[in-house]
Amino acid sequence: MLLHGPIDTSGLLKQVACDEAGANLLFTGTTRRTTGDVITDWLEYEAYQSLAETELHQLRREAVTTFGLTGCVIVHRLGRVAVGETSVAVAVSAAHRQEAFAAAAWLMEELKRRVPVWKQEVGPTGAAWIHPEPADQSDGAGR
Amino acid sequence: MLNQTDHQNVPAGTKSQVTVHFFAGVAQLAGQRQICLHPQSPTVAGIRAALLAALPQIEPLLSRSAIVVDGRYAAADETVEMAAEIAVIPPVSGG
Repeated sequence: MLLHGPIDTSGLLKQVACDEAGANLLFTGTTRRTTGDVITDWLEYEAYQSLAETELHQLRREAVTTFGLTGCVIVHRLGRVAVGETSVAVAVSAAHRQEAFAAAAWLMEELKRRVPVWKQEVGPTGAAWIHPEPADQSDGAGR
Repeated sequence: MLNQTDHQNVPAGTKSQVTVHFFAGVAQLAGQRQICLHPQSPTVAGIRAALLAALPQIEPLLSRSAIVVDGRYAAADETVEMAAEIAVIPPVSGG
Protein backbone atom coordinates (compact mmCIF):
# COMPACT_ATOMS: atom_id res chain seq x y z
CA MET A 1 0.00 0.00 0.00
CA LEU A 2 0.98 3.64 -0.42
CA LEU A 3 0.96 6.13 2.46
CA HIS A 4 1.34 9.89 2.57
CA GLY A 5 2.39 9.95 6.22
CA PRO A 6 4.76 8.10 8.55
CA ILE A 7 4.79 4.29 8.42
CA ASP A 8 3.90 2.48 11.65
CA THR A 9 6.69 -0.07 11.33
CA SER A 10 6.09 -1.73 14.69
CA GLY A 11 2.51 -2.47 13.71
CA LEU A 12 3.55 -4.29 10.53
CA LEU A 13 5.01 -7.29 12.38
CA LYS A 14 1.70 -7.70 14.19
CA GLN A 15 -0.09 -7.73 10.84
CA VAL A 16 1.94 -10.69 9.55
CA ALA A 17 1.99 -12.67 12.80
CA CYS A 18 0.18 -16.02 12.84
CA ASP A 19 0.35 -19.36 14.64
CA GLU A 20 2.00 -21.12 11.66
CA ALA A 21 4.88 -18.63 11.46
CA GLY A 22 8.25 -19.54 12.94
CA ALA A 23 10.05 -16.56 11.40
CA ASN A 24 8.98 -12.92 11.35
CA LEU A 25 11.03 -10.33 9.52
CA LEU A 26 10.77 -6.55 9.14
CA PHE A 27 12.85 -4.55 6.65
CA THR A 28 12.78 -0.75 6.64
CA GLY A 29 14.41 1.54 4.11
CA THR A 30 15.29 4.95 5.52
CA THR A 31 16.57 8.22 4.10
CA ARG A 32 20.37 8.27 4.36
CA ARG A 33 22.27 11.53 4.94
CA THR A 34 25.34 10.79 2.81
CA THR A 35 25.67 8.99 -0.53
CA GLY A 36 29.23 9.30 -1.79
CA ASP A 37 29.87 13.04 -1.93
CA VAL A 38 26.18 13.95 -1.98
CA ILE A 39 24.44 15.26 1.13
CA THR A 40 20.70 14.62 1.34
CA ASP A 41 18.36 16.73 3.45
CA TRP A 42 15.26 14.80 2.48
CA LEU A 43 13.79 12.61 -0.25
CA GLU A 44 10.60 13.50 -2.07
CA TYR A 45 8.65 10.52 -3.43
CA GLU A 46 5.91 10.47 -6.02
CA ALA A 47 4.10 7.61 -7.75
CA TYR A 48 1.73 6.71 -10.53
CA GLN A 49 -0.53 5.68 -7.72
CA SER A 50 -3.08 3.42 -9.38
CA LEU A 51 -0.43 1.35 -11.16
CA ALA A 52 1.88 1.35 -8.14
CA GLU A 53 -0.89 -0.08 -5.96
CA THR A 54 -1.60 -2.75 -8.58
CA GLU A 55 2.09 -3.69 -8.80
CA LEU A 56 2.44 -3.85 -5.00
CA HIS A 57 -0.56 -6.18 -4.76
CA GLN A 58 0.92 -8.35 -7.52
CA LEU A 59 4.30 -8.46 -5.78
CA ARG A 60 2.64 -9.57 -2.57
CA ARG A 61 0.75 -12.36 -4.35
CA GLU A 62 3.89 -13.57 -6.09
CA ALA A 63 5.92 -13.55 -2.88
CA VAL A 64 3.30 -15.49 -0.94
CA THR A 65 3.10 -18.12 -3.69
CA THR A 66 6.83 -18.36 -4.45
CA PHE A 67 8.13 -18.45 -0.88
CA GLY A 68 5.15 -19.98 0.88
CA LEU A 69 4.75 -17.03 3.20
CA THR A 70 2.19 -17.01 5.98
CA GLY A 71 2.04 -13.21 5.97
CA CYS A 72 3.27 -10.32 3.82
CA VAL A 73 2.84 -6.55 3.98
CA ILE A 74 4.54 -3.94 1.77
CA VAL A 75 4.20 -0.21 2.46
CA HIS A 76 5.76 2.69 0.55
CA ARG A 77 5.56 6.27 1.74
CA LEU A 78 5.04 9.20 -0.65
CA GLY A 79 5.89 12.88 -0.24
CA ARG A 80 8.74 14.24 1.85
CA VAL A 81 10.76 11.72 3.89
CA ALA A 82 13.40 13.30 6.12
CA VAL A 83 16.77 11.76 7.00
CA GLY A 84 16.29 8.83 9.34
CA GLU A 85 12.62 8.36 8.48
CA THR A 86 11.23 5.25 6.80
CA SER A 87 10.26 5.41 3.13
CA VAL A 88 9.57 1.72 2.57
CA ALA A 89 8.80 -1.23 4.82
CA VAL A 90 8.40 -4.94 4.11
CA ALA A 91 7.18 -7.37 6.77
CA VAL A 92 6.97 -11.09 6.08
CA SER A 93 6.32 -14.22 8.09
CA ALA A 94 7.04 -17.82 7.15
CA ALA A 95 7.39 -21.21 8.74
CA HIS A 96 11.20 -20.96 8.61
CA ARG A 97 13.72 -18.12 8.45
CA GLN A 98 15.24 -19.07 5.07
CA GLU A 99 11.99 -18.34 3.27
CA ALA A 100 11.44 -15.12 5.20
CA PHE A 101 14.92 -13.73 4.42
CA ALA A 102 14.72 -14.74 0.77
CA ALA A 103 11.25 -13.26 0.34
CA ALA A 104 12.14 -9.91 1.90
CA ALA A 105 15.24 -9.58 -0.29
CA TRP A 106 13.30 -10.55 -3.42
CA LEU A 107 10.47 -8.15 -2.62
CA MET A 108 12.81 -5.18 -2.25
CA GLU A 109 14.66 -5.98 -5.48
CA GLU A 110 11.41 -6.36 -7.41
CA LEU A 111 9.86 -3.26 -5.85
CA LYS A 112 12.84 -1.16 -6.93
CA ARG A 113 12.64 -2.64 -10.43
CA ARG A 114 8.89 -2.72 -11.09
CA VAL A 115 6.84 -0.34 -8.99
CA PRO A 116 6.30 3.13 -10.54
CA VAL A 117 7.59 5.22 -7.65
CA TRP A 118 10.27 7.89 -8.02
CA LYS A 119 12.50 9.70 -5.55
CA GLN A 120 13.92 13.20 -5.74
CA GLU A 121 17.04 13.85 -3.67
CA VAL A 122 16.98 17.29 -2.06
CA GLY A 123 20.10 18.75 -0.48
CA PRO A 124 22.30 21.82 -0.15
CA THR A 125 23.20 21.76 -3.85
CA GLY A 126 19.64 21.45 -5.12
CA ALA A 127 17.14 18.77 -6.08
CA ALA A 128 17.48 15.93 -8.58
CA TRP A 129 15.11 13.19 -9.71
CA ILE A 130 16.67 9.74 -9.65
CA HIS A 131 16.23 7.70 -12.85
CA PRO A 132 18.74 4.85 -12.72
CA GLU A 133 20.39 3.45 -15.82
CA PRO A 134 19.52 -0.20 -16.54
CA ALA A 135 22.97 -1.34 -15.35
CA ASP A 136 22.67 0.68 -12.14
CA GLN A 137 19.63 -0.61 -10.30
CA SER A 138 21.25 0.49 -7.04
CA ASP A 139 20.83 4.12 -8.34
CA GLY A 140 23.49 5.27 -5.90
CA ALA A 141 20.90 5.46 -3.17
CA GLY A 142 20.44 1.75 -2.64
CA ARG A 143 19.29 0.26 0.61
CA MET B 1 -21.11 19.49 -28.19
CA LEU B 2 -18.34 19.66 -30.79
CA ASN B 3 -16.86 23.10 -31.17
CA GLN B 4 -16.59 23.75 -34.90
CA THR B 5 -13.62 26.09 -34.56
CA ASP B 6 -11.64 23.61 -32.45
CA HIS B 7 -12.50 20.85 -34.86
CA GLN B 8 -11.14 22.86 -37.78
CA ASN B 9 -7.88 23.44 -35.90
CA VAL B 10 -7.16 19.72 -35.65
CA PRO B 11 -4.52 18.82 -38.28
CA ALA B 12 -5.73 16.86 -41.27
CA GLY B 13 -5.50 13.10 -40.81
CA THR B 14 -5.67 13.11 -37.04
CA LYS B 15 -8.18 10.86 -35.35
CA SER B 16 -8.76 12.61 -32.08
CA GLN B 17 -7.16 13.87 -28.91
CA VAL B 18 -5.32 11.94 -26.20
CA THR B 19 -4.08 13.10 -22.81
CA VAL B 20 -0.67 11.88 -21.64
CA HIS B 21 0.42 12.12 -18.00
CA PHE B 22 4.00 12.81 -16.83
CA PHE B 23 5.86 12.00 -13.61
CA ALA B 24 9.12 12.86 -11.87
CA GLY B 25 11.96 13.90 -14.21
CA VAL B 26 9.77 13.76 -17.31
CA ALA B 27 7.32 16.23 -15.76
CA GLN B 28 10.26 18.42 -14.75
CA LEU B 29 11.71 18.45 -18.28
CA ALA B 30 8.27 19.01 -19.81
CA GLY B 31 7.41 21.78 -17.37
CA GLN B 32 3.92 20.31 -17.03
CA ARG B 33 2.14 17.27 -15.62
CA GLN B 34 0.18 16.35 -18.73
CA ILE B 35 -0.38 17.27 -22.35
CA CYS B 36 -3.19 16.88 -24.87
CA LEU B 37 -2.00 15.55 -28.23
CA HIS B 38 -3.42 14.85 -31.68
CA PRO B 39 -1.24 11.93 -32.83
CA GLN B 40 -1.15 11.19 -36.56
CA SER B 41 -1.16 7.49 -35.76
CA PRO B 42 -3.33 6.04 -32.95
CA THR B 43 -0.52 3.80 -31.74
CA VAL B 44 2.02 3.94 -28.94
CA ALA B 45 4.70 4.80 -31.51
CA GLY B 46 2.49 7.57 -32.83
CA ILE B 47 2.08 8.98 -29.34
CA ARG B 48 5.86 8.90 -28.80
CA ALA B 49 6.36 10.79 -32.06
CA ALA B 50 3.75 13.37 -31.12
CA LEU B 51 5.34 13.80 -27.69
CA LEU B 52 8.77 14.43 -29.21
CA ALA B 53 7.34 16.94 -31.67
CA ALA B 54 5.54 18.85 -28.91
CA LEU B 55 8.18 18.54 -26.16
CA PRO B 56 11.61 17.78 -27.68
CA GLN B 57 13.28 18.52 -24.34
CA ILE B 58 11.95 15.28 -22.82
CA GLU B 59 13.79 13.07 -25.37
CA PRO B 60 16.65 12.01 -23.03
CA LEU B 61 14.17 10.45 -20.61
CA LEU B 62 11.42 9.51 -23.07
CA SER B 63 13.84 7.22 -24.89
CA ARG B 64 14.35 5.34 -21.59
CA SER B 65 10.67 5.37 -20.61
CA ALA B 66 7.82 2.91 -21.01
CA ILE B 67 4.33 3.89 -22.10
CA VAL B 68 1.44 2.66 -19.98
CA VAL B 69 -2.06 2.52 -21.45
CA ASP B 70 -4.96 1.96 -19.07
CA GLY B 71 -2.66 0.53 -16.40
CA ARG B 72 -0.78 -1.84 -18.71
CA TYR B 73 2.68 -1.55 -20.29
CA ALA B 74 2.07 -1.19 -24.04
CA ALA B 75 4.10 -2.24 -27.09
CA ALA B 76 5.09 0.30 -29.76
CA ASP B 77 2.71 -1.03 -32.41
CA GLU B 78 -0.25 -1.26 -30.06
CA THR B 79 -3.35 0.70 -31.04
CA VAL B 80 -4.56 3.14 -28.42
CA GLU B 81 -8.15 4.07 -27.78
CA MET B 82 -8.43 7.83 -27.64
CA ALA B 83 -10.23 7.73 -24.30
CA ALA B 84 -7.45 5.66 -22.73
CA GLU B 85 -5.40 6.81 -19.74
CA ILE B 86 -1.84 7.16 -21.02
CA ALA B 87 1.29 7.72 -18.91
CA VAL B 88 5.02 8.02 -19.52
CA ILE B 89 6.96 5.87 -17.04
CA PRO B 90 10.65 6.78 -16.72
CA PRO B 91 13.07 4.42 -14.92
CA VAL B 92 11.73 3.92 -11.41
CA SER B 93 13.58 4.67 -8.16
CA GLY B 94 11.35 3.65 -5.31
CA GLY B 95 12.60 2.14 -2.10
